[in-house]
Amino acid sequence: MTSAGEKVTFTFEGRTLTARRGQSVASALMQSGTTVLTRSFKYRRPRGYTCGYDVCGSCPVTVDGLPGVSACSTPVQGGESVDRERGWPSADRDVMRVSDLMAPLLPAGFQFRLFRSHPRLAHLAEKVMARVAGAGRFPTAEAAAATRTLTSTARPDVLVVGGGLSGCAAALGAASTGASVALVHRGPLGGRALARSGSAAWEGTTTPVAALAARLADEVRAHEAIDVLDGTALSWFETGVVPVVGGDRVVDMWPTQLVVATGSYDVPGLFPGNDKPGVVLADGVSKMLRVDGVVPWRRAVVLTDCERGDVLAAQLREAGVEVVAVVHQDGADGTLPGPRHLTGRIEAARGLKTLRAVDVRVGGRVETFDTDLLCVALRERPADDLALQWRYVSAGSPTSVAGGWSGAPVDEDGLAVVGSAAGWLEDDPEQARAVGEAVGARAAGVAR
Amino acid sequence: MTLPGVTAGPPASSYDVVIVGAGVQGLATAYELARRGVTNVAVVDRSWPGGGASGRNGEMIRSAFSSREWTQLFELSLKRFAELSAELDFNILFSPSGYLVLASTEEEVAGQDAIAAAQAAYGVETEVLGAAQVRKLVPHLNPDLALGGILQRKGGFAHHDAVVWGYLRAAARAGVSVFSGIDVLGVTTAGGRVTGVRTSAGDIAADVVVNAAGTTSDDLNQTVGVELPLIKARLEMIVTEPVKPFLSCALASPHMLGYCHQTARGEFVGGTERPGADETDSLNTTYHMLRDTATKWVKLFPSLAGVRILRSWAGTVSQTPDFAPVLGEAPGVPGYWLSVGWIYGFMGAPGAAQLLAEAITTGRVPDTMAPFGAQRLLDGRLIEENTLVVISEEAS
Repeated sequence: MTSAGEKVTFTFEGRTLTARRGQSVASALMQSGTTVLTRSFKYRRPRGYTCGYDVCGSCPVTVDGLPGVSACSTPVQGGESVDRERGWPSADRDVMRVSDLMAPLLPAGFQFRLFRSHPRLAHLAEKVMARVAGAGRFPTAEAAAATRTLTSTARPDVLVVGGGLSGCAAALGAASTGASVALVHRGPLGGRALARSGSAAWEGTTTPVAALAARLADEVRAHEAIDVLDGTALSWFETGVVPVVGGDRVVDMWPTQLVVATGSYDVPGLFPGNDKPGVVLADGVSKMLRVDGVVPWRRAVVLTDCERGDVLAAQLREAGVEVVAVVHQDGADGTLPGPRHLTGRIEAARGLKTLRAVDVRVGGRVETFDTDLLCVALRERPADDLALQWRYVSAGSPTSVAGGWSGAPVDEDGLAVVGSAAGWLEDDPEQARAVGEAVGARAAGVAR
Repeated sequence: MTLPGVTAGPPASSYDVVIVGAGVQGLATAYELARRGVTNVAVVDRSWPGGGASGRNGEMIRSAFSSREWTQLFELSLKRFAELSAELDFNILFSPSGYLVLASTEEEVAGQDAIAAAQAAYGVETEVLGAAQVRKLVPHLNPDLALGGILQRKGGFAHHDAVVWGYLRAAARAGVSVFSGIDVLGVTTAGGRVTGVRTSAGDIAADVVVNAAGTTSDDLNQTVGVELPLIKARLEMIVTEPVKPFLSCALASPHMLGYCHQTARGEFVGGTERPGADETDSLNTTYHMLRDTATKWVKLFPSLAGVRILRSWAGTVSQTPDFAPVLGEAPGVPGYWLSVGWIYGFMGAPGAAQLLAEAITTGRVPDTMAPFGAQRLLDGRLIEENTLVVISEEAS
């Protein structure tokens, strides 16, 4: 848990805020009452903390002159200066919000119909739109200099991408065969598992997932044959290189075998207002409560289509948040005593700036719940981009590959996919370790 | 799901004209044929319309070249770009924001006056800029690399997908049928004359077949024994996250082998090249080009340091020894027409399509098109053009 860091201060739009070193910038801002972290690009709709893991793009802020830094996944260091990026005079009150009122006049593709008989007007309109929309900023010279990267090369037998429960287990398995292993992970090792409830079998005993993830992370860090990099694997290129970017360096990885353990994505709900600050995806909620140790909400509605609804409701209640309702869409139902369980769907998430109320349609009627959190706990989707890319790039064509994974362990020459990236429905670190062993043995065999 | 303008169902057994390739060349040619009353036309593509180089290029448009041949062909195109939004009833987002060919060496600066004089003689208006003027026009340029330039104010860029969609819809409205997901396996002939094409959806009869197949155009030529010196090449581009407007014109840098512009959304779009062609039709992007592109653009625009790359893509072309396209009827195969060998294909399509349709419907080769015939390559008479952002294998 990183919530035990020392107290530090940082500057937010001229104000001094206090935080614990290592907690996310987003959690520190929300602790201080800031819920609007940026504005959307075109219609300037308020946007806030949503996914927790730098996937959704809803929380870019400028840190020490470098724009586009994800507040949800960037730890507070102490002493930095944080600013929001869009909105005039501020992200809280943005006069350009009026463009949203014009949204019905500006449907997708409107620009292809605009002024088509008046090329001069079309060109002028484009210039105006560029002034309004082209709001991104260059990094300051100092921030740009800090992104200058040192490049090095590494040739591990096995490269594991993703250091969650499955990735750590696979790395330990591969290393046990004598193979050299590199593990790439952004942020604290253990990943989403650090915030999850539930338990998994490991070495004959059943252990809470969060504790097991922390333990395997410790074993990985302590292992001599495993090189851990805090960074992001950019891509798998046709020459076999996987560039890893982290901090001020780029490591060109040339692995013999690639293990993809990139986990899962939370899936957003489809309803009006689903982008409002206060509508937060399940893993983002868990991370805020259980890793960052911040409870920025008082009342919650949980939307679900699976057993995660009850799990999240229990986590919220444990953190002191009142769960007023669990809405089961697609006819699912829940058993957690306490909150009302409704079968229906979200009609709308309402609130001028941030979430104030949720309208729930149950049969023929609509019930309204006053709430400041709508936790969207739908069934996850495999984060299998890198694995699919490996197949597409290998084929050299975007049209000739069937996508997707069956949920069975994937272990073909050059590529293995484990954990929820492969569609596994349960945490199964022992199976991930077994795949890691097979891959490691093969890579070490090839390498020798 | 079928795209608007794409015909559902299988093709008929015969058409007056079959065009192979639903890229910007094929669709523009179909549209120009329809404008001339030839509407019983099928455009057949192995994939989706605009899925090849038509949607993977730098979107830039100029007519200021150094040779008479290039200048006249692309001047016609540039005029068409200015008319297309109204004519196609679809805003192609043509931005006549200027096209700057940057001079970064003393040698390039010394050559500018002669090039501009030639352009003036061919009827194209350009301005020779000194270092101070270039830096005023594009203040973010690295001053060490901004020694001069030739600016064509009427040049600029357009939205490449919009051009494809505009031509597609307009052609479909006029009665042209466009099919996607059909492989053309070969051109059929009888007595040396074209009789149609063999496809994965059966044979289609046609007296006129147009090869506008982009990267795979040489493969189609091989099926009728048309041997042209075409080689495949892969080109790559990057797009950055949006930044405030800093580059109003399109810019080409022969010194860096690069070209770039900034979109209305603020994204910087740029591509660079390295000597030689890699002779592949793979659409994979490569790490060495990602590095090459990023390094060169940060060198030219130091402000881009630290700006993230949002995405990158690769497109493939089929190029000729003089980098000029091949336009006209194939030597020795009456009825088989070529619009191939394009590396500036997006920019040249509106003009070339008009000329090609005119030649097909009248049987007379327009003067502007004549120099681009295939025979020049067979005879070794290459078109000399000195302002292209390419470098040949020999020159490297």
